Amino acid sequence: MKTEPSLWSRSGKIVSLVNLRGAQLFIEATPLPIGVEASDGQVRVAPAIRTLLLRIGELKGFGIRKAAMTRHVHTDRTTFFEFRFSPTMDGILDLRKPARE
Amino acid sequence: MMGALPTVLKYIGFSLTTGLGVLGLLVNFRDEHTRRVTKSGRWLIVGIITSGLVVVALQAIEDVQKKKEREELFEQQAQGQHLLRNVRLSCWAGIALDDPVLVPVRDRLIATATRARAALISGADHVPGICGWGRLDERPISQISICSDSPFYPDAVREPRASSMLRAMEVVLRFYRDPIRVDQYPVHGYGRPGTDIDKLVEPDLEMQFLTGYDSNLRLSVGYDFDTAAFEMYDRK
Repeated sequence: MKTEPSLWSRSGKIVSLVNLRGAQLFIEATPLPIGVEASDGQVRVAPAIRTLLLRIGELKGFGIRKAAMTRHVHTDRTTFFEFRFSPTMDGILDLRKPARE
Repeated sequence: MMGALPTVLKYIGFSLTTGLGVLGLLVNFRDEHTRRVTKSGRWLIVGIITSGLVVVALQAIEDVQKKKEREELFEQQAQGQHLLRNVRLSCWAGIALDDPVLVPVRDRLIATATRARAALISGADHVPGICGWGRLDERPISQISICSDSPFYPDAVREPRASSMLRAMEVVLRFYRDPIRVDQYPVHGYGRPGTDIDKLVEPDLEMQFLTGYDSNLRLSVGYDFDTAAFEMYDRK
């Protein structure tokens, strides 16, 4: 999936992987209706994230899996997920290892 | 203040050592007759022990400072090495196609996947409209993937609402350097109805990822026969 860094909002506290030690991540995934009137928005698809693979530069992808996330449901049925990064760099780098399933 | 402490301790150590050396030459630390340690001798022993403690304390402080410097250096290097640049995301998400608008699509995708699996098990090496399949170990095919360019995918003209829901997806990642409580999290960037907006905490970093807008990044739907569930994922 593509992202446009110029549109990121940032406080400056997180600029590198090192800053993610002990950090918290919230994830929202939503289908984007294209060319559909707002009044037709009753169609509901609530994606339940199973795996995210975050690739940073040349590093091997960081896998965040369902079992490591906490699921929260908003009052409007929106589902979002919470993930806590390890407090150590080794713990963060371990996310690049394949899951043992 | 802490930076000056080692210097102060160093001078105290030098002064003590010099003073004790001079004292050792000038005083008798044992009584010549009784061979017992004199009062001056006791002070000398106290001075030597104090001097030793100063040296140990000085060494300990220097070790701690060096460790801190090494950690800061590592931090700076690591920070520079792993900047959050050139970030890409792949996402696999389960979806329930149980909305009435999506039910005909769901039934068609299941029927398509079932036919495709039968064909593949019979030896076909390609099934039109199917872009992938998977299996675990030696078990029969357990997953069939249908890509957005397949004729079985929801049609943008005939099924506009279903099509729109399965062709593009946004994933937003919100990072907090210092964790917050869940009720402080601004869902959709706005928060829950009725929440005190002043209590919401803005993320330290927010990234939006999109897929489905160009031909290089499209969504696909996979049907898993073991779990009878659909999964949506992006593919190149």
